[in-house]
Amino acid sequence: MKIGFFVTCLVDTLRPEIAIASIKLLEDANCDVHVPSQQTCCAQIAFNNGDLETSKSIARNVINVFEPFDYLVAPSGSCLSMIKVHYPELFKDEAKMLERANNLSEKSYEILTFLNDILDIKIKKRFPATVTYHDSCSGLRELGIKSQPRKLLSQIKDLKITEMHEPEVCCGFGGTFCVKYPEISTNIVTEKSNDIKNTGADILVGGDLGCLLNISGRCSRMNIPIKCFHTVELLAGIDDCLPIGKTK
Amino acid sequence: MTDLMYLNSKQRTDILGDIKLTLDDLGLRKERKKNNLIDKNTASKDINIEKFKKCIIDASATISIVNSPDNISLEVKTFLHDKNISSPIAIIDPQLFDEIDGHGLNITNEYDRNDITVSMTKAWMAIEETGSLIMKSCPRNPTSLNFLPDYHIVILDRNSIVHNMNQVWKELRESKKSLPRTINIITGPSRTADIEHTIQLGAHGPRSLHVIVI
Amino acid sequence: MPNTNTEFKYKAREALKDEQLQQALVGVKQGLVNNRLDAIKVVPEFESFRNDAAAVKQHVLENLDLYLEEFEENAISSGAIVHWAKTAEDARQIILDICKQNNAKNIIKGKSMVSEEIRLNEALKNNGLDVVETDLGEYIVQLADEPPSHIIMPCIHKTLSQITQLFRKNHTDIHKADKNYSVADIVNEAREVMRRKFLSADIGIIGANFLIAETGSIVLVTNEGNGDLCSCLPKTQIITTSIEKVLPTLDDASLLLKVLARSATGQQITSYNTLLTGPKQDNDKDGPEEMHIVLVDNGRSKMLKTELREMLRCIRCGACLNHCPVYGSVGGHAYNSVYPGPMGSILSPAIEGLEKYYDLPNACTLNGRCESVCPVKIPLTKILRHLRNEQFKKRLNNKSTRFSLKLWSFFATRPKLYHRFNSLFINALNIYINILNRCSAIPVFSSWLKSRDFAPSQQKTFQQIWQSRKEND
Repeated sequence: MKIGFFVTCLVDTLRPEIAIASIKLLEDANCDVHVPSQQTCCAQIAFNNGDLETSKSIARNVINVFEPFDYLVAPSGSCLSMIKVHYPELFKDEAKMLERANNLSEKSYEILTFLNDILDIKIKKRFPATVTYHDSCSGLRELGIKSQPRKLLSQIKDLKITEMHEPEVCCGFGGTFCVKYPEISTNIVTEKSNDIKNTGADILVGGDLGCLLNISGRCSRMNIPIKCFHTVELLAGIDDCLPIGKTK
Repeated sequence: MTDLMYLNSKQRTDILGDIKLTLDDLGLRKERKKNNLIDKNTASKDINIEKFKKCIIDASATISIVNSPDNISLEVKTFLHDKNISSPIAIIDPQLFDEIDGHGLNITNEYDRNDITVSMTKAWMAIEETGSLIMKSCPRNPTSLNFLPDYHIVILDRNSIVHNMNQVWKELRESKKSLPRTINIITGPSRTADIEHTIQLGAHGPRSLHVIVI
Repeated sequence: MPNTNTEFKYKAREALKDEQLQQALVGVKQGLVNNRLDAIKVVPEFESFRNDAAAVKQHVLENLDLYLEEFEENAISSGAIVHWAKTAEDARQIILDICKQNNAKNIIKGKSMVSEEIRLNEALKNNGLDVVETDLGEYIVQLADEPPSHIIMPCIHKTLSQITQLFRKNHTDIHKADKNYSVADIVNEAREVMRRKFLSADIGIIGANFLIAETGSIVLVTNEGNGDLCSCLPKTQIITTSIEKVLPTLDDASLLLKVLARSATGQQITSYNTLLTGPKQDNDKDGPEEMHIVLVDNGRSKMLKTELREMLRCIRCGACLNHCPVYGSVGGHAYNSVYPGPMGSILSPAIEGLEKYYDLPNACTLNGRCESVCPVKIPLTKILRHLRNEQFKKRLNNKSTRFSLKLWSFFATRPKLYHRFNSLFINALNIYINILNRCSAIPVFSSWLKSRDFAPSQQKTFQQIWQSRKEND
């Protein structure tokens, strides 16, 4: 099957490892993965800031670029829900575009959902660690991602999942929210970081880089010794990869 | 007053006219869909008195079950003795007053809203699902008797307990009389959690509610 | 134009520094959230109740005029007097007139968010009337001369010792200065003070949770019983309510009651649910001689025309506040509005204008937890986004935001440039961080770096890496 991989802007610029790991998992499952160079971003930032015209022109580009593939797969719940849930909303008054948006919506998947629900991959790895999983909001509430990452992670031998207090509560990232209302965002992510600390886990995993940057950045500032990874990085093996937010 | 009435009728026309226009212009009017979940037909099922009892207790009220009206007085005596109360019990319902009278209880049929510490009233119905008492206002059953006293004793006929609230409404519709001024659905004593989330009973209404089921 | 924009940010900052408030908010985030969870755990059909409740409220909106007319007709035939108020000002005037006609002096009030919305207390006070809130929480904020900070827990931000001080100052006749007051003592003192007010008031003003079209009745939901005392003791009763509160039948009320208490306080049902129909009847020993129902519009019929329509399903349970991380951080007062939290971030700008409440639709992470607990399934995030779009169209957001968006969209719609820009950006960023360590000079980064660390993991973008892999193949 021919897969168009949607990189997302944050992964493209700040954490290429997530894309590399995703593609490795897809290729291991015999997928034909393409990364169209005509893609840019999903338009979420414009959409959430009320700029619908810009959102539409970017959405049109995404639809054009990814229409030829059997599937669109992205390593982020929030970008994917923009494409899957909000594109059809954007074009609700343009019949032709709406049809195309709906078609793309149907074949668009978040990476973990795709690996688990469509490919049903088996993970044959051993990784002795205790991890805790943060449910990022868009993925959880707009796409229903909850069991898939946990199912996949639990296949890793010697890996223990320990749940934090309220894993479903927002980390305070919220896209531009965290820079528009930095104090409130900080307060929210501080609570999240403390909840993570209290699990005693070595590793925090999640499915959205925005949240992971936010949490890892805050934990680092608070001297909480936790390593943050995207779920796919753990599934693909992270032997040669530094945690998010750490440099050599 | 006429000015006010004129203003009122103008505002009424404005508001309703505006809404009508919106609903018609935008084509919003839709038929009513059936609820997915109407209360299951529980009419044939027996009332589970244990469940009712548990709900009453969960709501911080107390309950006792007696076999005949003759046993009410003894039950009330125990209740008042436990609470160490000697104030007279206000009973306005003449029938209930006659039933209780002569059994050695300190009772009064005077309605003095400035001085009611204990009251005894009859519930019209009750709801098994939530442990709620249904009180219907009438000259014999003033609403304030449910709220003014510190201690409220309610007499309930076991046969008047129904499964859910909709059965109360059904009864109300079938009685064909006009609605009473007030129907109180009472579940436990008065309470507040306004201060530091601490639940405190007896905010303005009764501090304790005792249900006697016959 | 008042710039509440900076006001929200200022008040939010103050709130974050207020330790007592932060302590109190833990009770919301933990207590009320857990209460709700416990309450719905034992009701397996709760999701179906939510669906049905949403459907009923939506159906009412789609036939609002008809149900209001039916309600009015039945209310009038039960002996009530129905008033219609287009604006807050109209509503105040109607109520003041009723007070005047009854030569009223002392007024007691039950909790009513509509009365807060129309700023009734201030109007009554300015007209020489003595008005006392009887809901304990409302009474406490009234003594403190503050607005409520939560729609169902008005004094959630106050500690016991703050409340004790307020009582000491205000109840000089009965308060014992040397006593160490417990919650029970405070409640008892309030009961004693309030009982005198109840028995001597001329008018009782209460709100309504639902209006029943079928019978012309109002439904009142409380725990303290204060609303009922307000309603059965004074000889005149005024009900301040709003037009969207009407329900077709009593059975619909039972359905809504099933979701209201569980979502609000986590009770299966509140202590008191009361159905009031008309004034006192012949030979009744209590109850008002006159029952006035004031139906307030105040922007609601206008909302019905817009994408904000579904917000009118709101039954004021407060669950969205309790589950909102922003409310949980700053509390109610930062919103500077009668309605705080997610529901307030929609209602406040809807009623008083997008300009005045610019920040509210924006101060939200769009995490959607609010709508996942909303008993009538209001699509809160969708409506908040809609408000942001309205603000954008009205050019209300600040210039630098608009400029950044424009700049970014310029690149995002030109893939080649976009990728070149990204590789340059990531290169520059690495230089800044590794060599100059001057990230904090870049505006976006400075607010990030104030409380968080930051480091990109590579010198290259993924697109560059992918390109070189393809070339190597």
